[in-house]
Amino acid sequence: MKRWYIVIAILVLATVTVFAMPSIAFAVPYSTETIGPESSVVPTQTAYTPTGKIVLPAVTSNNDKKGMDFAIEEAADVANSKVYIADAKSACVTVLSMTGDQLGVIGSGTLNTPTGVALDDKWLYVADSGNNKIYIFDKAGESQGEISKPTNPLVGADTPFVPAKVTVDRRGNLYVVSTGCSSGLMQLSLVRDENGALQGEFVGYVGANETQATFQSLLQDLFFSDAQKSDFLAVPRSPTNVAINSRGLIYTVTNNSHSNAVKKLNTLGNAIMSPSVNYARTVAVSIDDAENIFSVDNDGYITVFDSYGDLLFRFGGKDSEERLGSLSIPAAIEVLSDGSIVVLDEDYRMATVYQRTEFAEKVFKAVSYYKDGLYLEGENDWKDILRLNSSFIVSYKALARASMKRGDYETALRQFKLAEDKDGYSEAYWEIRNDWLQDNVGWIVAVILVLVVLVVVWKIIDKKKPKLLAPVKAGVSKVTNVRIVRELLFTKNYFKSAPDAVYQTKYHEATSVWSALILYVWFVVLQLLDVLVTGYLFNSNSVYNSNALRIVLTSTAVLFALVLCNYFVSTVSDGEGKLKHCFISFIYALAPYLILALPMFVISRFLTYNEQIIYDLLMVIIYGWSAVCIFRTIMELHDYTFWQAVKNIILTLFAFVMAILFVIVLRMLVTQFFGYFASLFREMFTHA
Amino acid sequence: MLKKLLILALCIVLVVSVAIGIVYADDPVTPPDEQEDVGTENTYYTVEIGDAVLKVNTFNLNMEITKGNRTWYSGNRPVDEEGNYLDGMAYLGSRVTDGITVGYRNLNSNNKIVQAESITNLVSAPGEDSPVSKFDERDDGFDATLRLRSNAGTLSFKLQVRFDGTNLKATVPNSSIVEGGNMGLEQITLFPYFDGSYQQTEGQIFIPDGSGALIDLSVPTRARNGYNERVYGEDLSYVNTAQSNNQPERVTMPVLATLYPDGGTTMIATKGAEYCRVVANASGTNNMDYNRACFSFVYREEYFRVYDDKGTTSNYPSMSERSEFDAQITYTLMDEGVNIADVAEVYRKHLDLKQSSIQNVGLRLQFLMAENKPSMFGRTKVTMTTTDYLESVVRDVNSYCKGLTVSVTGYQRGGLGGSGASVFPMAGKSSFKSLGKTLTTLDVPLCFSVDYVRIHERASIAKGDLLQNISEQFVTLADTRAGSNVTYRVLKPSYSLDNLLSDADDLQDFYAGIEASNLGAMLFSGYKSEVFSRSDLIKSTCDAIGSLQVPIALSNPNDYMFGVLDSYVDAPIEYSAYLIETESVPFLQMVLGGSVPMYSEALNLDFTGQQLILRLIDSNVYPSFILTEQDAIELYGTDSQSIFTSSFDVWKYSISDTYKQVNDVLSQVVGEHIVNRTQVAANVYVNTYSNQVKTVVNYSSTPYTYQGKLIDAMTAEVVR
Repeated sequence: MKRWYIVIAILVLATVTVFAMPSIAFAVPYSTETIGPESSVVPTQTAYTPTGKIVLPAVTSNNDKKGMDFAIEEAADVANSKVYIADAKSACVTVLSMTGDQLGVIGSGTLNTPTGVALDDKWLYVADSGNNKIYIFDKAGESQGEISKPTNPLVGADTPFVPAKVTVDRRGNLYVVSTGCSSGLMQLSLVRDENGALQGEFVGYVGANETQATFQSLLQDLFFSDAQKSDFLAVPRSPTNVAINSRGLIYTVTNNSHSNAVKKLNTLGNAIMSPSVNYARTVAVSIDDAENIFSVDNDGYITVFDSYGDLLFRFGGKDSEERLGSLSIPAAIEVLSDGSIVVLDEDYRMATVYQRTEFAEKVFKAVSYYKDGLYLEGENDWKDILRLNSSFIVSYKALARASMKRGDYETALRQFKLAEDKDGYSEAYWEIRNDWLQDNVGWIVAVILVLVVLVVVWKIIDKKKPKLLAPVKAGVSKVTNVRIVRELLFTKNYFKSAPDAVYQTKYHEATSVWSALILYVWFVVLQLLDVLVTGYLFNSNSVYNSNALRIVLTSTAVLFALVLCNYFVSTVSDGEGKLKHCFISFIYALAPYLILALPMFVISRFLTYNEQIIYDLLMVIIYGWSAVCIFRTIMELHDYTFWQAVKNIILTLFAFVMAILFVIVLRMLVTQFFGYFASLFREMFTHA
Repeated sequence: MLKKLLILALCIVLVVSVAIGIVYADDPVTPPDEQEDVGTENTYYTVEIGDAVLKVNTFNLNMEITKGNRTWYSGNRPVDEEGNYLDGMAYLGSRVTDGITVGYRNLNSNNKIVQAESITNLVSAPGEDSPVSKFDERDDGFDATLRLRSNAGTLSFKLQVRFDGTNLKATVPNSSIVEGGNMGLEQITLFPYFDGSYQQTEGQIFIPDGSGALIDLSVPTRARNGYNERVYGEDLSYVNTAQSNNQPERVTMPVLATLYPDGGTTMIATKGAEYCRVVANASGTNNMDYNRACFSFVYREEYFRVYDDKGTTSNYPSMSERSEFDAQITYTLMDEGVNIADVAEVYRKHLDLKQSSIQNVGLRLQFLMAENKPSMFGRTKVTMTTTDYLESVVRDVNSYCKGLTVSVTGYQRGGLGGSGASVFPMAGKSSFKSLGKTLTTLDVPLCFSVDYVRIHERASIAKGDLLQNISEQFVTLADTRAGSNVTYRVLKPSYSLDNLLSDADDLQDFYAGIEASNLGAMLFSGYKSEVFSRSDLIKSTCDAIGSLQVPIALSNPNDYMFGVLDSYVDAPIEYSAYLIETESVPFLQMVLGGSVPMYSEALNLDFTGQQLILRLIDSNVYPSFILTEQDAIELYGTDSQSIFTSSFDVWKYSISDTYKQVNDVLSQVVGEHIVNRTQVAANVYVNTYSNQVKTVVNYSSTPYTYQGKLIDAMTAEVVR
């Protein structure tokens, strides 16, 4: 009888803690972000507004148990849904309406530390990490069975069974997050025992995480013996939360995982997708019918990814100021069929309801078209989205696909560029180039023929009437005989045979410091041209982020530092080269790069990814050839054997790294030196 | 061994005793002045003024005011039949019932904890001695001289109370405050529980959060903390690096109210508002069962102090010097049936507002002319709008909007990012002169938008013109919105106001006014080279703006600017949504409505659709948009990349649609203000204006019939 009084008392207490859920809300204590150009995070229109709160009854118990989870039983009208909140502190599952009315309490007196809860059509599953059991109730709160640690031999005696979270698929298979279980989720199927009570039968493990390679583990692998390695056996992290989509595919969450904190598993339990941006501190996920992923993390942010894992929105954040919409210790997230999101906060002991704005509605509608390949059908929606945010990069991607489908390749090219979809850009460019080639094939052939004819005619005249070309040749000769021009043209000798050219440099003054300086300048100019001229598909630099002065200073400093390091190393290792010759030969040895780089930059503007292998091969040849030239130059310059040259190069690189470290340390010391005196004076004046 | 230990223990006790003796012998507490006999705990002084009776306990300054059928208590702690306190909160002591709570600190101690005590605890014998050393009875109130003491020293000040039957003014003159020994005055809270209530009850508390917010006292709150915000914002000279985004709304009006079915109180900090905090609690917050609203005057502040450049060594000491100001609160007693519009009316009368000059429903278009972004070779100017295009847009919009106003930004040479805190140097002066002339012929005001308070850290400026905080660091403000990473410095007021006056002179040829950001909104004090207080800054800013010969618009200013501005831009239409708050109310608009045209923040950057338009109508605020000729994607890489949609081409329809909806309703109430506001159904609000026209705003998803008129879902209508 006493229990009834307690239940009634709880109900009365809960009744007075009912909170009306306002349906209009304007104040949004956060900004919403999305992915913009260059994968940067940019602001966007508000996607979700906090519109209400579902508040748990206050607890009188002062225990320090932690953990909370919820499941929502949706009604046809979302407003009539029921919320089942498992709460370790109150040691029960509280059933609330969407307006916060308490509808019942389940498991009071049975449950110890309920931290996970899941629902299917019939039953309520509660993961109790205190009793190390999963309890099964019907919706009225009557116990239907419990699951203890499986006795299957695959579950070792030392394997912990501490159920923290649980989810269930449509066939009644349970997926259990067991704290400390590194083998992954435990999959259990429901069976009835001889008394008709429900029990769990162990099926296997799914979704185990992999061990993460760290710098430390790499060093251990490299230097430790097998016996030593066994002491440092890396154990994969156990998943910390689980969710399931309408098709029965499992999503795991591994909190504090620096790669793939959220993973989508296939039916075999293997990871097939992770969101494009990894938020290591993810706490929980929920999946809607369109397979969009909604996650919440320890930092209080709610992140929405589409089914491909592309980031759509990120909003929220921690706020110590207790504002509706901000979070303190988020514990769980659910997305409802009307698109609203409900996030449970363990600290505030309440769930916040976030409603989709018109902007978010548009985005989800357009994403669904895109997902189904209905690019043209979604075109207007994407245009609407761009109207509301010009930086919404995903829109450009979708619009580009629509333009491609319409055959408007010029527009598609521009849109792919804005979307930074280089594959798409390549496709569009291929089409444009193809059209251009087809339209202009006649005069291209004609130009080539004319050029061939001109060359042939030149040769014939040169052979039969050399006097006719003599003035031209004399003019050319006059120019090439100018000393500086001659020295610059000597580059081709390095191109052909570096040792001979070095010999000429060392002993016959075939080059000078001035010509080398011009080549150094040309090298620096090439670095700038690389950014400005190289085609979009092959250009890894961004004009936005490139600074000409920085490029000039960096490349100049690197070149001169390498020359100096090489000279100093060679002086202590029997090298013959003088500083002057090192300075000259080093840049001349880069002849293949100095001569061929610019044509390659230009050519890259006309290529697509279909010809990428040609471009890459040519670039490898240029860099390789330059490397060979440098190597042979060092051999000849310092009169080294092969291995001496190898040693010299390694030592040069080492000296170069040391020089960089020296500069960094020097800078730190100088900063600290001045900082110390600044602080000293500040403190003196403050106290004075 | 035991013997030795005993001797050692005795020695320790002896040494400690001697030490304590020395400490107390050195106690700088000065003996109390000769004290009048102010009576015992139950001695009262009563004043009758008209139908109101003021009864004050001369021992602890607790007051009861009876007027009609209602009694206002300055602090009422309910007791049971046996006289035991019902709240069961022993720690509250006499804080509820005492007239004043004082925060103090031992100035000579490293312990910087502020002690907050009610006055009857700050006497030689708490509960027996009275803190009131002198009580002067007056026909219209009383003067009480308080003499307080603590281990740190003594403190005395005078409380003057004047009552006219409706308004009660409580003042602590600065000249009366005397600190003795090391007792440093930190805070004074006058009547902290005035018109407060116990546990859940029918009623509301109004707090000036953003446009205004109500706390419904009849529902329990999940908030753990009460509302506690600095009036006019925190002082930049005391805080560490401040951020300028996602911050709670600033308190711009020093006004509070308690509203109960049988009456209520409007409280206005009429003197010393710039030094006070607004405090409000609902039952359940801060571990207490009381609902209350009060002002707390801050005399000494904790400030952020660093010892090194990186701020790795820092602490929060308290100011050694006390801020000097008169503290005054005016309590206006409100009769049965009081609502928020009545509070607004009381506050409105307190302000010295301009006469209404509003002729039409307004629409503000702000044009971003140019920005700049990094490129390989320095920074490249990005032209976003040309004056010719702007003129064509104005002609287009002016065809359907007679209340159009235009402001321009980014017109400086080099564009907006990194520009100085001045209208000049301007790019294309002649074209702007021509634009101003043309817009004048179209009767469209033009304003040049300038931030006179903050300056981009990239801008070229002498260090001597930058504000330094109390730690002598340059004050910085970081804009950390997504995609932004801009740091601003704060300018010294002398520099800002010189620029303002100079710009105003030069702009007279441009047929244009000034739209100033942050001026009159960010309040701070100065220490290094230019020493000024918050009060000084208020005065100098008001004087400067009051002397301008060109129209001035201010962005979300504090209430001391309300009397000098010509239009109010970036008006908040929301509150901060603290858990303690239950409803947002357009209080600010009730106060300024009809006197000053109010424009919203740029709607296109948070366009939540129809709900937003209804909110504008409900608040009597006119729409604003930020626009460009070019697509906003061109702003990527600039400091303005947070403007992610701005092209007039894409906003053309929304601008005309928004204006049409707003104009259809608000054109009936131009120049009027709200005199009553009621919620007639869930999410349906009726505002009655001073010309008795009613606007009905139906935020709900179902139609609603009001006085026979059907108001469709998500629409607003006028009802006469």
